[in-house]
Amino acid sequence: MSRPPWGPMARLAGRRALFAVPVLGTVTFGVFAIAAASPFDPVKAYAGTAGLSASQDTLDQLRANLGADEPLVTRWWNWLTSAVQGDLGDSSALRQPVADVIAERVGWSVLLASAAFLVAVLLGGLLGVLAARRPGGWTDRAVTSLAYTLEAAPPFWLGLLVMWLFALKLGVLPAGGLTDTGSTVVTADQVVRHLVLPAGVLALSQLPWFVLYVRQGSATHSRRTPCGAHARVDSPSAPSCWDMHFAPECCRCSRSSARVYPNSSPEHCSWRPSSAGPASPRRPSRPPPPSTSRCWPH
Amino acid sequence: MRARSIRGMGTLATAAALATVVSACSAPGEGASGDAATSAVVGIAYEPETLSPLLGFGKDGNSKIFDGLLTHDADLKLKPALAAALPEVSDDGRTYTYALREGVKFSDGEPFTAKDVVFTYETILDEKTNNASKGELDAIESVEAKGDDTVVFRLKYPYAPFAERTVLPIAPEHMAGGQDVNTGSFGTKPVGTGPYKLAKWSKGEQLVLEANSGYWGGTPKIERFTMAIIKDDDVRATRLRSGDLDGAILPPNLAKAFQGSGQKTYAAKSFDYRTVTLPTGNKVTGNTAVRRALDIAVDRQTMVDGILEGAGKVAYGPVPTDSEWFTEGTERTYDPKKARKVLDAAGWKPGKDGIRVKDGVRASFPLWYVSGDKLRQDHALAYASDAKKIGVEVEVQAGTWEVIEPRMPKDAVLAGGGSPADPDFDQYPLLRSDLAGDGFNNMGWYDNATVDRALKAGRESGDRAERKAAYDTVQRELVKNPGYTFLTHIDHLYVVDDRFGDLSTQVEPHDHGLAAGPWWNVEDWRP
Repeated sequence: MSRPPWGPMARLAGRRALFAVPVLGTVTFGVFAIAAASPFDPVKAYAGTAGLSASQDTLDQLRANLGADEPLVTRWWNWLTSAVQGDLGDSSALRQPVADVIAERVGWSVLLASAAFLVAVLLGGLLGVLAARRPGGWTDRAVTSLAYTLEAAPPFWLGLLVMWLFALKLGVLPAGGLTDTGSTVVTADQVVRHLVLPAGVLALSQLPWFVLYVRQGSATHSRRTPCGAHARVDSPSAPSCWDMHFAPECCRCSRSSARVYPNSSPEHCSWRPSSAGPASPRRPSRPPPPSTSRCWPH
Repeated sequence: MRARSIRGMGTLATAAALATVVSACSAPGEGASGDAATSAVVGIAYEPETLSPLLGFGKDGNSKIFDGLLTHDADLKLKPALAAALPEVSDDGRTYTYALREGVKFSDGEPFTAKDVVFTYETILDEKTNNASKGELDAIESVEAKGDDTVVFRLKYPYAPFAERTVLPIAPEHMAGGQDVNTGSFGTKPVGTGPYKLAKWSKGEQLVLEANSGYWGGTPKIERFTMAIIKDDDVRATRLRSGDLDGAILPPNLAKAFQGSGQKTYAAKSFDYRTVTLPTGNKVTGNTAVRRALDIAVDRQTMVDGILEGAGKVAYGPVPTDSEWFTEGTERTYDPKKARKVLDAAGWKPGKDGIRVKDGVRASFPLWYVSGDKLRQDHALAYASDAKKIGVEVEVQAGTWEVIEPRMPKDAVLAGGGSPADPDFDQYPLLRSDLAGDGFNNMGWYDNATVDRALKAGRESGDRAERKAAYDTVQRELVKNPGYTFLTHIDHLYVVDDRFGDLSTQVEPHDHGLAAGPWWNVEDWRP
């Protein structure tokens, strides 16, 4: 195992970090500029319905208090310099410091995202690998079409769909919230029940790319591996290339494939057709020559 | 064929596997509301931006967490709350003296004193405080504590309805005083003297209140009162049907479905009007003949029956027809024929396309409503259709307030409002010529010297009969020169579970927040 290339990696990370400074500056300025250009008035938004009966004096005073009367560049610069020092300012919508707003929610967001990610990775890995076992087989087709369908479905729509099904029609899961309506204590079982739908939808929306990625990886491998592809043709009981993920030496392939692809030398083929089915993978007597590395395109 | 069915099965199997994974995580369901009638969960449409009275929360009283000096009874009559009695008013109407109730404590155990009252009012009036409703306290010149149990307000001008403003909730100085009034934690973790304490507030989701066991008015029987914030009417109705909610506010068409199903429907009368502004600056809407013709050409009863499904009343002005302040004889009869005659007589002659013209001006004007507001849209379309019948073209357009506001001096707007507490609260800002175009006050730039004088008299006089005469003048002037076409007053409909017994409703304002509805007095429920 060679030492990771710390030096180049650090330089790359440094370059990226430096480049992020102007990018963030430009993006935040852009956001301020768009907000300034929109007809949306922060003072009206702040005042809400009270603003509809407020006098101009009151509205003007609010504008001054909120700093909304200052020029765009000043507002952006004030925000930027404070943000750099760790002061993210106050949320005018929630009447709270932005840092508090984030802190109150970040834990739940992390829980939601990690639960969804875990499900997506486990389920995606499983389905992807299942699909890749027999590319073109019915499992593959089912999984792939499901993945494409889910990929095409916008998460918000999926969310509405599962809310309609599980919360409204079946009534088995809550449609929203962290705990039951009317409950003030956060208990684990309530959180779990309220987590299922959002985490499920988030997982489903992240699932397709992961399934397709895993399947693609395995399938590419399969295509490029002479033994796998041909073993199936040669004998229905031959292992597919999928098995070879777990047998890096890989070439448990039939003699026929070795004939078609002379590069995969027969001495590395541990598999032989037998009535007992595929033999358990065995390490070859000596390491495979470089030519067989095509079994592992990556 | 076979291959396809196998594939189909595969999809099914995958779907089933997914469903299993998803449902495996679910625990057995449990009802949100227990059977015991000691807790109630209600669905409301809007939540307050803040729970700090200093920023405007509960300014019209009945905030549950706080008390004002005064409060309203079922008939909206003022009665003392944190004050020991109704205020003493000086002869010139400019000094209000409140004696405070003794022995009242905030829910954290600290005593309530006159200092908290002074703190609350002075903070709201402070320039640095971002309270958009502070204009309502404009009359105050000074607030002063005399000892621990007396507060004296001095006013800049005589202001008859001032006592109505003192339903404003009182915040504790020891909690709210030490922090930034605009962004401090008091807005989310309030402490007051009211019948309930805040147990939990998940913004956009729910607001849970817990009975304040030390409440000076006696501990409420409903120990836990939860308000679920559900913006979507259909979702609210579904959750009410599923038993997740014990009560909810609903639009008329959804409320109908609940009749006789273990729930009671309550129709709260309101001052909540819908009106069309007829800007003075527009050559068509500024014309008195056009205004008067439109006033009798709109079929208000059909709007009530069709748009409100009967849950409302026809409106001829901001004052509802069943209010004690309503002027008998100012009702308008629906009469399109007479409306046409009025226009004919004023020289508005039908053009080729049926739309009337006078001196080269077509009787046509735009009418804006806030996009997304179905009720206003329906009113606007009905108005346009009625106007068309007398040869006046109304182009209905939707937009946000940002789009509408700059057009208000020339374009008509489908507006709403209504405060039941005092006739001054609606009519003064709506009709005074010196408030024309001041924010959203007097959106129609109404300009009538007689009305201006009457509004001033009504506001300043402490005498009930004089005030009644003043508001009669205003309402009669609105018949002669209707700068607004008032259409309807809207009932607010609530559906509540039977087990809470017979409940009551108050007359409600336009902004019916969390303390309106049958739960306006939830602290007094005795199920």
